[in-house]
This record gives sequence, C-alpha cells and structure tokens, in this order.
Amino acid sequence: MSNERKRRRLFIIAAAAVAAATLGYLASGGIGENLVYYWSPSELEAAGDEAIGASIRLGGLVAPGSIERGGDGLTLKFAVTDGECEVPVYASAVPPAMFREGIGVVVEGTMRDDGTFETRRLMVKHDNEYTAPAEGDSVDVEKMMQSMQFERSES
Amino acid sequence: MKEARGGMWMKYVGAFGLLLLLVGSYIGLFVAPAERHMGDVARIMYVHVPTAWVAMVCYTIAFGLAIVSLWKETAVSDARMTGAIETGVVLNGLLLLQGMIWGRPTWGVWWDWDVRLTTSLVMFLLFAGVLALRSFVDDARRRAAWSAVATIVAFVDVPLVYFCVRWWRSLHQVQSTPSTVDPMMVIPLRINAFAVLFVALWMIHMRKRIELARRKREETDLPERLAVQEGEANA
Amino acid sequence: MPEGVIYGGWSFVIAAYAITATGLTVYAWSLFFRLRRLREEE
Repeated sequence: MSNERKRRRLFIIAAAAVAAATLGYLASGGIGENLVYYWSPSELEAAGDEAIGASIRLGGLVAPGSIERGGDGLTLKFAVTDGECEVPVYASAVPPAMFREGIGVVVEGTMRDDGTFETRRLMVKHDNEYTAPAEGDSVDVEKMMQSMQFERSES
Repeated sequence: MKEARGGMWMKYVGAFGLLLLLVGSYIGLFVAPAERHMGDVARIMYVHVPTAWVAMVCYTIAFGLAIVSLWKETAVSDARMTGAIETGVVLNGLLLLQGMIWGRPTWGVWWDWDVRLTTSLVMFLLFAGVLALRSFVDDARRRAAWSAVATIVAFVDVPLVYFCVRWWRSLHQVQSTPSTVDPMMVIPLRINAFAVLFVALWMIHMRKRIELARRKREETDLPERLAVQEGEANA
Repeated sequence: MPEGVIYGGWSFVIAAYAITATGLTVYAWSLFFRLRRLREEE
C-alpha cells in the first residue's frame, strides 16, 4: 500500500470518528439542556421574575374549560397546563383551526408582571396519531401529554 | 455492454415508480379517509413522508458511496454519489416546501425554528454546498476526494434530522408508527414510499451517467484546455 | 360543527401535490436534457 493511500484511509477513519463522536455527544444529551425550544408551565413558574419581559416560548396543553374568546375574534384567553402548573395566556392572534381544549400549543411571547403570558404567535402542535373521523373527542390530559411528547417536569 | 444493460433496467424501475406514485396518490387523495382533526389537509402526508424518507435514503447512499469513493477512487462511485446527493437535494427542497404548506393550516405558521425544521434546512444547505464545491474544483481526482469528505461531514446531520424530535422538544411531532396511523392511511403511505424510492433510484442512475459523460469529456478536453491556459499565461 | 377541526383546506393539498409533481418533472426533464446534450457533443 502506498503512503498516499495509507494517509487517505487514515483520513477516512478520522472523519468517521469525528462524525460518530459528534453524534454520540448529541445523543447522550450533551447539548440537550442548552437546546430548549419551549418552556413548560412548571419551568416558567420556577423561573419566577426572570421570565418577565424575556422573549420565550411556552409549550403545553390547552387546559380544558379555560378558553375565553374575545368579542372581536382577534384576542383570546386560555390557560396552558402540563398537568402540574397552569399559566394563563393572553393571545392577540387568530388561532389555527385545530385550536381546541386539550390540544398541544406552543406560544411565543413574554411574561407580564401580572403573571399572564402574552403572545402574538400561537402555534398548534399535532401529535403522531392519524385517525379517521367519527371517533368521540375525549380530552385525556395524561394521554395527550404522552402523544404530544410533552414530558412532565421532574420538579 | 454492462452499462447499457443496467440503463435499460433502470428505465423500467423509474417507470414502475411513476406508476406506483400515481396509484398511491390516487388512493391517498380520494380513497383514504380524512383525518379526525386535520381533515383533508392530512392528505399532504402521502407525499411529505415518502419524500422525507427517500431524501434520507439518498443521502445515506451518498454517504456509503463517499466512503467507497475515498477508498477505491473509482469514477463510478464518485458519479453515483453525485447522483444520490443531487436527487436528495431535490427531494429535500420539495420536502421543505411541502412541510411549509402543511404547517400553515395545522400549526398556524409557515415556518418556525424548531429542531426538525432547522436540521432539515441545514441538511438541504449542507448537501447543496457539496454540489457547489464540486463545481469549483477542476481536477477530477481532487473533486472526488473533497466532495467525498464533505459528504461524510454533511451526513452527520442526517441521523440528527431523524432523531431530533425524540431527543429534544419540538413543534414537529415524532415519527408515527403503523399503530398510530389508520390502516387505510398506511396503504397509500407505503405505496408512495416505494414509488418515490424507485423514481429516485432512476434519477440517481441518470445523474450518474451525466457525471461519467462529463468526466470523460473533461479527460479528452484536458490537453486542449491546458494549451489554452498556457496561451493565457503567455499573453 | 365540532371545534378544533380543519374544514376544507384542499387548496393546500393541491399546492403540495402540484409543487411536488412540478419539481420532479422539471428535474427529470433536466436529467434527460443534460444527458442528451453531452451525447450530442461527443
């Protein structure tokens, strides 16, 4: 085997090792804590005053019975829950058609001093279940949490 | 000739894929039921999911060929790798567009910087970058080596696209399994997955032929080009 | 009419399929075209 060939093979092995190490690091959760797409209601509550004025995303389920639609159709109030904590949300946005009680949502905005989360960007999260219509709509928070991949906070 | 025979065969694979794509899409659009909450919009699934799968298959093929290409230095593996990358990039681009179109009515937004969307865009940019790199390198052997290394590096993002929704919080849902999808929806999904795969294999094959023809022309043109360069240098 | 369900939305479905069909067709055509041009130059 020529020297050049040997060097190239060494290079392949090095490249593959770097790639594998990067993936392994990511998979083992090395970056996980720094990559928070949204905060859960519990985490938001734990953050307390730190959350006020900061630009954050809040994710959770729309608490059953909490939806209050404004008369103008452009504002609405509801609460986001993770089964432990509930955060009241004031949204000045037209909700997507799938918005309903018990569905997963991600809202982008900030915490006001009165403890209400204010948002202009309301996103609805779909789970990985695709079923034909004509089934009863039951709101089971525990089950929805699971299928929407909202993990409970450890606190 | 081996090449010609392979070409004949691939033509039928592509045609069969196209036929399957029509059948699968027909079932998905007109036979399968609407979704309980998403209604008819969920029918985008039958192109979106197969496109995603096959784009990642293309990149995986490219990754394998990149290693072969570095190891053995054959023109064929380099050409086929190029085909797999370009086909992957085309599907990846369509994937992003389909996803945006699906996101607007369901999530309420065309785009958001969640991990799945971001890593998918990065995947598109990385592999498009490999193709760009190829066009900048004139020497065929160097081009093959550099683009193979770039492909191996870019490939790190591919498993990330797949697993990110399991590892981190995202707007995009995790992978469905046959148990979370209505059986009538699984049928068009499966048909279209094979359909897009067959079409993609034909595309890879065609692109490989183009690359081989180009390289052959480069080699025959080389003395001529060197003469031109020398002339420019002397001028 | 139950809440939280998308009604209609066929325009989105048509757009997604049309873009996919167009993209694949244009790419397939470019493959044919590029290969033919290289063959003609030989």
